Amino acid sequence: MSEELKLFCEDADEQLSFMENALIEMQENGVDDESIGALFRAMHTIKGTAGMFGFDSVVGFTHIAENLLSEVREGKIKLKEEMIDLFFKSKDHAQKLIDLAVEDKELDEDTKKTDDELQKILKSMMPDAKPTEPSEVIIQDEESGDEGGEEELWHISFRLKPHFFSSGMDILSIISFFSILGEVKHLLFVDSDIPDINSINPTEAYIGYEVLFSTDAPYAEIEEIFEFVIDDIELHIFKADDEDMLEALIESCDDKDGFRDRLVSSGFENVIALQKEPLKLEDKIEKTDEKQEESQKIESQKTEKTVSVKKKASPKSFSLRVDSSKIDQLINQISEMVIANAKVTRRADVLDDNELDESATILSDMLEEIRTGVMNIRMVQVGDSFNKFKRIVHDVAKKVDKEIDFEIIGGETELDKMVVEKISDPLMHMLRNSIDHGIEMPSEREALGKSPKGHVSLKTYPDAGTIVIEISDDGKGLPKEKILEKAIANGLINENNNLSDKDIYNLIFAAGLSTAESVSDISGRGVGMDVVKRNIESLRGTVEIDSKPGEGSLFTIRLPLTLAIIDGFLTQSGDTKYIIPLEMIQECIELDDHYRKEMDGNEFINLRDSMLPLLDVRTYFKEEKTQSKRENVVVVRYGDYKIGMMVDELFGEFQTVIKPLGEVFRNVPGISGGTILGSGEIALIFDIPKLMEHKIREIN
Amino acid sequence: MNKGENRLNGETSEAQDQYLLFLAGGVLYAVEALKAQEIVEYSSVTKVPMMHPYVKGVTNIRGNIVPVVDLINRFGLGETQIGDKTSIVVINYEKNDQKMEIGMMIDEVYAVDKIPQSNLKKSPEFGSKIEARYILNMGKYNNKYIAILNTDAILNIDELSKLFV
Repeated sequence: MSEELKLFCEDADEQLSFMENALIEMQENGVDDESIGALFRAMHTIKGTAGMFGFDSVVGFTHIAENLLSEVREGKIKLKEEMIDLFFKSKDHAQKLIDLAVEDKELDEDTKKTDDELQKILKSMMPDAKPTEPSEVIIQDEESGDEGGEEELWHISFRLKPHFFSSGMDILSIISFFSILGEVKHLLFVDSDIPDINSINPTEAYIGYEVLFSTDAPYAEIEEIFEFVIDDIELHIFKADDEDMLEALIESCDDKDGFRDRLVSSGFENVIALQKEPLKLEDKIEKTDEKQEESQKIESQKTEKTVSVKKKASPKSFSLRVDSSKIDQLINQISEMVIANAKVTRRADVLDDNELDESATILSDMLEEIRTGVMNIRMVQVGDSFNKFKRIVHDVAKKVDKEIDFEIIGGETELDKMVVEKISDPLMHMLRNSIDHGIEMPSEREALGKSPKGHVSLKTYPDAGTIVIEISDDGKGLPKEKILEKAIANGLINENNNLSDKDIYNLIFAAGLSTAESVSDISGRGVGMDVVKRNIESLRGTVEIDSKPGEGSLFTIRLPLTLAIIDGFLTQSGDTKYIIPLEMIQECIELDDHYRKEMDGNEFINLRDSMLPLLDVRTYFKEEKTQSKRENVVVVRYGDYKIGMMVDELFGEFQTVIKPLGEVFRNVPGISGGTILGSGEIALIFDIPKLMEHKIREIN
Repeated sequence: MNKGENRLNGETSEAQDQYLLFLAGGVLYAVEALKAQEIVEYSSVTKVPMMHPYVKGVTNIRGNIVPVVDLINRFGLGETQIGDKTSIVVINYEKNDQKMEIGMMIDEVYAVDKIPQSNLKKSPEFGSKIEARYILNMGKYNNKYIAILNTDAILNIDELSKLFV
């Protein structure tokens, strides 16, 4: 696929998700102008970009959808519930068309049929398609028809803003656009703002144009000429016979008379008329028939609307599309700088050079800030991406005849974009499972005394340096017996096992285990939960299940905030240096004689009245025990677990750039990667969740 | 066969004829020069727990973490004694489209030289000090047969990654 096509796909994806979000927003909170505007813009953008690639099927369809949306946006048609559904379908269809076009495939039978059907429905919604229906809409539409059919004279005035040249647009190419849309009657080059040659700044623009323009195109299309420079010019478009606007324009000029004279001498009829009959002004307005007045009103309303839509959208819409690999590269470089700076710090230590040490500290603070900043670029609110689940839940629920009340909590929580994208599929799968298997049929629920509507929620919140995503439902819970039965039948576990409830529930993550009695096209094929677990683990996350029969299930996913750099705590055990993720450390204590006496051979200590199991790193890794002078215990917490890790030495905080250890070490339990220390040495990074899991499994 | 093709073949086989010769455990071995990515001086290697002793650990090669295998230990012939000339030969290892770099710890580099195709012999079925599967061919160099090593077998990921507890 070419670069351009890739960009197109990315853009189309984004636009489609804008559409989806706008539609969902309206479905939930009612119709609002902002969402209609967003919907229209997205459809319009897709049409435009698809046109550049000559994707006729896409252009043809989106054009019709856009037409209808444009009517909606201008308030000529009211957007009703069923139309939202129609636009949902249109969005899906547009997606399909785009996919086919990108793959350079012909439309298949089904798509063609949908295409025809949707086009027909969309067209039938257009106001001019139902001329028999007597309503306000018709009257307005006739007018717009008039507008469209007859040539009209427009006065267009624009001044380049000083920074115009930096926009990179060529003003002449914009002016040449006029002749495509209509006929330029008169053109006045406004050079009166050009300063004295001595005070001129060659990088700034001082010029403007007045254009008297004859066209049958409506206002919006004229405005479109300036689409790419709209922020770089001061633009006024009004009907040539709109004397108020014209007066206002002339009034706004420094040299009113000079400007007026020049307009007259350039042949601007409207200005001449204004000058000749200034006294008849009132007369004229009276004479203007109502229709025209009406149309002007609409015109000004339209202008207002576009302006208001733009205003609302602007703080959100300024975003930059950056290839994520560029950010990765930046992160890599910062990582190298962090390593280099660690070297400097170490050197300062060796030299006992306070000044150097201070500089290195300042530098490392700044690096930390840059790192956070760059990381923030990658952070997105999960809500934007999670909103699409609403629709999936809706669709799935419909398919299985269940009623679902779906809730997204904590959508404002921020997470690395890549993580959000990768977690999306597993979440979708789990949601489907919850609805298909978890929630009972409405009649069953009623019989059980539950509300017929099932409740499913997706909750996201930060916790101890990780992000937690919880999927909960109030369905029937996981069938413990069935899982056990199936697992034994599949040879996953022995018949006489001592598994706890939690362990049994976690068996559903094993490959090939599905307890669904019937396989639906939604879930139940037994491929899935193992993939879900793998996907989550590939993000260095974990997933846990809790379930109560008759009350529902809770899936808890824990994900790291970032993937590349963590704050670590450097320790040593035996000959190897280890990093423990700082965010999981609660405290460090010295294992003194008092504790040792208390332990009395046990492997736990009494820490302020709670039992803290100890894990000796050396024995865990089956290494020889070397008695060091001072033994330290690092207390770490992950989720519900808390353990003390016994190490020889503590070195302190270290900004850890995570590097993979590679395939050779894939079986080492509890090590997630390595990092390069300032000295060039490598330290191993503990994967605390895995370590605990492994330890617990070992004991069982 | 036309001339151009001939020359092309000549060129590739010439590159293939190049071998990196080195000493490990006092014995001369060779690997195909194309397999060797680079040779670096032996510096600190961090031990990774629970690995077989022939997996010495990991080392830092220009910001990348690279596993290091003690060649002699892998052959079951003792351990490489670390000295001034101890080096790590970084081998490009490829398996199922996965590319990775693995370091082989050796005594010292001897030379990069040519062993023509005609000087290669199949390895003897038995009688060699090291396992036959580790040997790709025997090559005649300075009138002596030396083992040209099969790095794919020596650095087999599935074997290296087995835990040793």
